Amino acid sequence: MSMTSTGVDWPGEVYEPNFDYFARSINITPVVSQPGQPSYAARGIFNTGEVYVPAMDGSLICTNQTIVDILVSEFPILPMQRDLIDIPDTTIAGGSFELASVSGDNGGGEITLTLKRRDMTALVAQWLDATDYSVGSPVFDQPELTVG
Amino acid sequence: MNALLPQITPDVNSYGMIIRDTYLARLKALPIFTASVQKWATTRFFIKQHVEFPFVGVYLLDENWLYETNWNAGAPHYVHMLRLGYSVVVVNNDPEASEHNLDQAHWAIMHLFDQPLWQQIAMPPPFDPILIEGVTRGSRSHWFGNAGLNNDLPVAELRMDQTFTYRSDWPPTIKDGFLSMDVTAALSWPYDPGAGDSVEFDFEIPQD
Repeated sequence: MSMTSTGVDWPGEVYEPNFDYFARSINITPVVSQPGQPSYAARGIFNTGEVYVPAMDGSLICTNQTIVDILVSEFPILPMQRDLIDIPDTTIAGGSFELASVSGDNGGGEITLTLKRRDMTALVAQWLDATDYSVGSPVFDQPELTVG
Repeated sequence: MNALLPQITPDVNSYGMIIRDTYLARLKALPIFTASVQKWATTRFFIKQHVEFPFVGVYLLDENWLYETNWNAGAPHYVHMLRLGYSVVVVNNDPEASEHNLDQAHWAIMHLFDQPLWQQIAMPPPFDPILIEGVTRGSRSHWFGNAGLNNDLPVAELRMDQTFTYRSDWPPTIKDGFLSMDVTAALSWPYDPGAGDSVEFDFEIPQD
């Protein structure tokens, strides 16, 4: 039995009341979906939770999976990957994000936006002239004999 | 300029661990890392936190050794292949920029070979320097998050490894060595030291 065969108006009877209760304000800057257009206000249900990124030698990076659910009916033009989304802080922290992925419709008029935080911590590359630095043999600390 | 390392010498630690720690110090001396790296690690013990980037890990990934000559004759001699791993993690929403940044890190590490004495590691007396015979292979790859790519922190990781080749010899430690032999030959029997008919020989046994 499919969802639509139940006769339930999912967007109207289920999602919109839930969005009225749970959604928070978001601002979308449509740099890809509507290039040159200003940012606009919308709403979405925000959720974030712990997720791990595997790294070299089985090490792990702790981060989050952060999503915003939106109602398709509230967007004449849907956001697209790499649009910018700002979520103002409320009692719950928001943040500045870039849209990483737009899911398909869940069959009830809701789609999920997967977000990446807008952040940058880069290395500063420099021309390596061997006269400027030395990485020869390291200096080793010498043990001290203490007679007590 | 070199980092000060804790005492680590080949009487109590392996050549492989000394090479790993030396390369940790050498990477710390590279200008690309000195100013910006927030966290260094040598093991995967701690989960990396979001405030720790850029991050650099220098890992002893694995080490294999093979017999150099006849495995069933003489003292053991091994050729070691020590694989060191370098994990460099940066954060950037622009994957093209972060990939270039990781490539710069990779190239800076390769530039360690510019140093004339890169293959030597001095040891405090009485130990001989540790000599790296060569770096016989290497690899690198760039990674951009977990399998689902749904991590909100836009991390990018350089995974680079180099295989260092060196040798170890394991001659026996002999504490009751056959160093010399004194022989007295005499005509009289039973032997009479006062008879004056004896000849003494001192033999020094070559140890080489």
